[in-house]
Amino acid sequence: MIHIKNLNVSINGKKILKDFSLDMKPGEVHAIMGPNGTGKSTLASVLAGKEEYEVESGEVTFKGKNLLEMAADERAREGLFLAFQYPVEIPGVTTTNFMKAAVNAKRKHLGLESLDAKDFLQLMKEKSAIVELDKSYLSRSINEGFSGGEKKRNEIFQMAMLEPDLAVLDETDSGLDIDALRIVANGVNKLRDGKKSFLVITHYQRLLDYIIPDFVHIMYDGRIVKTGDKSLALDLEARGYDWVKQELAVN
Amino acid sequence: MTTATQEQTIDIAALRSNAKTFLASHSLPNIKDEEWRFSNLRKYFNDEVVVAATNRDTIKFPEYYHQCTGHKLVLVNGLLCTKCSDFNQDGFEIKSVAAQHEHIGKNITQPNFFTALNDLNFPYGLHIEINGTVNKPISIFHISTDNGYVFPRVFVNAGRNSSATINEFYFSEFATVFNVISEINVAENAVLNWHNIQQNIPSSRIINTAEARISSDARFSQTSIIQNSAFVRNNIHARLIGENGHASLAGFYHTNKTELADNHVLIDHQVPNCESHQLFKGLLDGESTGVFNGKIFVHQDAQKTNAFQSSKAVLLSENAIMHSKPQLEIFADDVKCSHGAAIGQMNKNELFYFKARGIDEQTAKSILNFAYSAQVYEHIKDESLKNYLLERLRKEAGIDF
Repeated sequence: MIHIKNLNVSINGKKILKDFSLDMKPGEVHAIMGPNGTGKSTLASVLAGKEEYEVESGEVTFKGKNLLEMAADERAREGLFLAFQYPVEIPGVTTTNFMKAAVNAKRKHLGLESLDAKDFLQLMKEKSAIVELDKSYLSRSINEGFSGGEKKRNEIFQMAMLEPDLAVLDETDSGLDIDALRIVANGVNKLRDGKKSFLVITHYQRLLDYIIPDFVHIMYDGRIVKTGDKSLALDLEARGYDWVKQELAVN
Repeated sequence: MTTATQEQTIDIAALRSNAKTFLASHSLPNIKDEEWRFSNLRKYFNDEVVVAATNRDTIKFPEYYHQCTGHKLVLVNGLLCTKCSDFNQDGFEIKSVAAQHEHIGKNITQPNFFTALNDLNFPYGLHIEINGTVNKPISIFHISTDNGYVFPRVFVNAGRNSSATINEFYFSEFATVFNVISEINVAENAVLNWHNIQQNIPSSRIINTAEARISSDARFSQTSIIQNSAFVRNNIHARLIGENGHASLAGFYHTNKTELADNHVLIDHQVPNCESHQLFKGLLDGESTGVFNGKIFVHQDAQKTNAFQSSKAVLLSENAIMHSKPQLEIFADDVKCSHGAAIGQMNKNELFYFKARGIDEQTAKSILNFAYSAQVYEHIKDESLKNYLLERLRKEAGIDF
């Protein structure tokens, strides 16, 4: 699905990702954990195509294509989705209209006709049910006045609408209470179909109680320093990050 | 203003003669004049004032003339054309201005070059006396049939407890200068909503002066939309002269090429317990210029005033210029006033959010600009006009929702 090799990224002259490498196959769920400031969100932003970051070297291949050559909107149409850590509020544009533009942009890219109003509404209804998002939210300005939990549910709803091949969830769990967390995680689980891949970036192990990962990576100082299965997350929860740092120092 | 002057009638010949005297010592203002610092008239006007000739064979109307369903009043080069107008006087009355008039000229307290020109030259004063509830909007179409100046003069008296909506439109295929004055009185407990649609006259210029006096418990709102017009200067003055009065002034401008949009707004709180709102938003492209000068004046007696002002401008090109000048002069101590003036570029985070969902940059910009503009259009209280304008905006932006 995605193949990242020796990726070096900086912002304003500061190196954030250092020879970062990761491979994900279709259908896999990978979790990336790590302390603050190790480059987790930078990774998400760079994959989504945010322009402020400078890619100094390295390769990223997504579904066999060079991801780094594509503009952000192209990446999205190719099937990459970023669930934002801080979803933007956009006054005056309803989620419905936003999704209409997004879904039809993707359909056009795939050589399909735009959805007619009836089919689009049906799709909205179906997908909003996945994250238990009340339909009144869809006719409101995007994220405007939404609580943290509602914003994150809206992200997962959008993900469901766009059916990406690879979804990057950037700290989707942060700021969520346990009910919202469960709804968001359920939303993700309902989309798991053995083909779609998920890269779940999180601080906390608790999200991984709901979204069971195939692999857990620990990121530190711009790269992955340890990889394991879901038990690694539990170890981390029990022992903290210092254990990893010490182990690194020894090696 | 004392009762004595209120009752005094104005002699139109005297008004014209005063204007003539004024103009003998005043010419087209230049940028040394504080009021015109940012709007260089010499780029858009000749010094010479030529009055447009009337040619009834070339009367043409803007698209909305054929679509609007309310009362239509057509002023051809400032003169009421009864043949092209279409109205019944249900809730209002149309009066013409004879040699004597009880109001014309009274609201213009500080004459300038353009108001004096209008005083001297207006061919016909359109007096709209609103005396009840006018259910359908009254649309005034300013049409010009020649190059040069036209001088529409409008006086609206919204009587006690009355309610009405007035729309103004401009149309010319010539190099016309619309030099318009509207004097507006909104009496006790009256509601008057006014929409000034200054669109699609790329070869014309507009100098618009509106002077409104708002009495107790009355509400006045004015919304202007400037788009695809070479030069527009609005002088909108709303004076709150009775308690519990409410004034709301809004404006949207989208300029391109070398166009200029200049909104000079004054809200004058003369008495206590009034409320005012100003919301002006612009999109500036090409080498165009925007000016916002928003004054809030709160007199010493005007306690418990609530006055709010917001000006936002987005520069879409490197060469567009915006001048924004909020001015608050507050002499009362128990007031709530706020103002905000922002000039910026399109929000990069918003654009990225769109792109991250697969929407290309051009479409993203169109949608965001549409949403930004539509927020001012929402202030338009004539639903069919609002829908018509929004539909056009959508079409221009290529948006299908």
